[in-house]
Amino acid sequence: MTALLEATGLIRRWGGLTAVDRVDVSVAQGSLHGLIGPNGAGKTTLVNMITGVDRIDDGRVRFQGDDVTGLASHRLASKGMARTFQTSQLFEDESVIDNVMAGRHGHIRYRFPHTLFYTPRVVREERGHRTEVYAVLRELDLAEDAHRQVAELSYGRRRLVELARAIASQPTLLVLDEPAAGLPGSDVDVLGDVLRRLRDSGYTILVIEHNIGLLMTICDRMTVLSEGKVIADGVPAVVRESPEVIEAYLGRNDDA
Amino acid sequence: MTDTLTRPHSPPVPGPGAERRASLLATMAGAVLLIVAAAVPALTDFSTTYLMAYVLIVALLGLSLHLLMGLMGTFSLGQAALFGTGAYAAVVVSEDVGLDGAIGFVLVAAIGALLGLVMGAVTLRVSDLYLALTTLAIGYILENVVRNTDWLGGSQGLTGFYITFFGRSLDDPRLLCWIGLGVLTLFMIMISSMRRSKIGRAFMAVRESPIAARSIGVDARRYKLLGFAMAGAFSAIAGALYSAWSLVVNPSVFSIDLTLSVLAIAIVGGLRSMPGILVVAALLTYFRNSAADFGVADYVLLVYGALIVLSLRFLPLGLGGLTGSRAVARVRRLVAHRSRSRGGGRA
Repeated sequence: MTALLEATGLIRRWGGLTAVDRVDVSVAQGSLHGLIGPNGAGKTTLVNMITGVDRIDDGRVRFQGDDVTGLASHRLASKGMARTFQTSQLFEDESVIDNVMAGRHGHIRYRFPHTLFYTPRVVREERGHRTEVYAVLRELDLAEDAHRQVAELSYGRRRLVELARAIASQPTLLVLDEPAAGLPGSDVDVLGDVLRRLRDSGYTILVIEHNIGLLMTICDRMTVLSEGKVIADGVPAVVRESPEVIEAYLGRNDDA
Repeated sequence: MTDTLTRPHSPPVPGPGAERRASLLATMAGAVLLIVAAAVPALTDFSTTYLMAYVLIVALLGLSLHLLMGLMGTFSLGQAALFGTGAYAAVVVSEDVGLDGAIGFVLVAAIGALLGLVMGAVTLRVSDLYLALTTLAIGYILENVVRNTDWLGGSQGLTGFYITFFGRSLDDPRLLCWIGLGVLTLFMIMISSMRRSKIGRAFMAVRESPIAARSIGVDARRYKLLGFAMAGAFSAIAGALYSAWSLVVNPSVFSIDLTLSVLAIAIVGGLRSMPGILVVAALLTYFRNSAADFGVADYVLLVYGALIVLSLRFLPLGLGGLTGSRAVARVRRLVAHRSRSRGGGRA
């Protein structure tokens, strides 16, 4: 398998602290790749660097074979990198479908002047994209809530809406920042199934979690961060046995 | 704990058909209201018509805030800067360039859009309070520039000008009203159709978080500039109508007083609700106009301030928030809940 995303030697310094220290991550095409580590390990910083949200002090990021180091995040998004955030970024008082339609942004071809009077072209294109969004909603079992307002949904289902929005952009790489955060245990299992299903239907997914149990069961490959450094990388069965991981993560009294 | 990811059993929600019916109904109601409003100037006296024209001007400014603050989430205090520029530009375009309003107003809108762009560009790197203060400062700068420019009448301002629309003078308040209504309708159509498109969704994404907006491919800066340019065009047209309405344009058109009263209208009416803004624009303008009759003329701004505070505390989405489908849904849930608990407490 070829690497869809390849980050090499990434460094991010905050004053004297090196939050991310020469990190290499390689996400294979079609894989479900986990990025784990205790709180403060630098996971989110690393992901922010990869997705163009945070600055890269040193190192390179290659995506689909192109060097995308330091590219603005909206450009990365249009190249096919979609991501979700730890906190909700939804439009609370709009419907689910309108929220997910926002993910189609890069695929909609009509331009600003068309929208001023809602020309037939806008009507036609919106209808087409809505059909595609419905398909995504069905895939995530959200179709029946399509016209419900996001604020009315439970926390767990709102997180699904965010996932749906990222999927609606038809990404080649899906980056999920702690999708299980705040979910009750039974929901975490459901989420795991959803992620596995997405991987099986061809998505490449990079998922950040500190819930090690979830990732161990669903990931093809994992990268473990601790204090800004990669301490293990490989298939879950191997990572689980790594003494560094056990010491840094499992062995300590860390309630992750 | 129960599953929250899988779908709970819940009452059916209105589908796309119901939405379409509701929007058709709203369009029809709007058309009826428009006809009634258009009839008012023909049926009443001049003073009522003047008041109505002023309400329309203020409502236009309110719409620009709906766009900037309500949809895009940008807290701007630059309305007076754009409004004042529009007021002066209308006079200059009419008197010095000699254009009829039918073309001149388009030019004024373009000037407003340009200033809006500049305002957006200088505030790209700041947000929240800093952005508000920067836009406020732009108003002060313009006010002082105008005050010291003899060509624009200095601190005395400009009087004795003529603004025409298709050759007819706008000193007729009925004509002014009709033009105001036309422009207001046009802008409302533009905003509501934009809102249902990718542009509206991009604005809302920027409102929730510029970082997240970029992650779905929205170039947050570009949309911020677009929002400012549109708000600039709307506010400048409001200013142009104002100069025709008041027949005097002086540096006070840049005053913070105007910005704050429009802010009050937009917040109390509901930043995300166009009807709410229109209703409150009418109510507060009427109140302000007849404050002297009630004997509270000195306290107008105090009342405005109190209304802002009360609204932010008790109605964060303003009066318009009361009629929003979210509030309706909440009431529906409450009713459902009541009837359930009466029926033995089982869902």
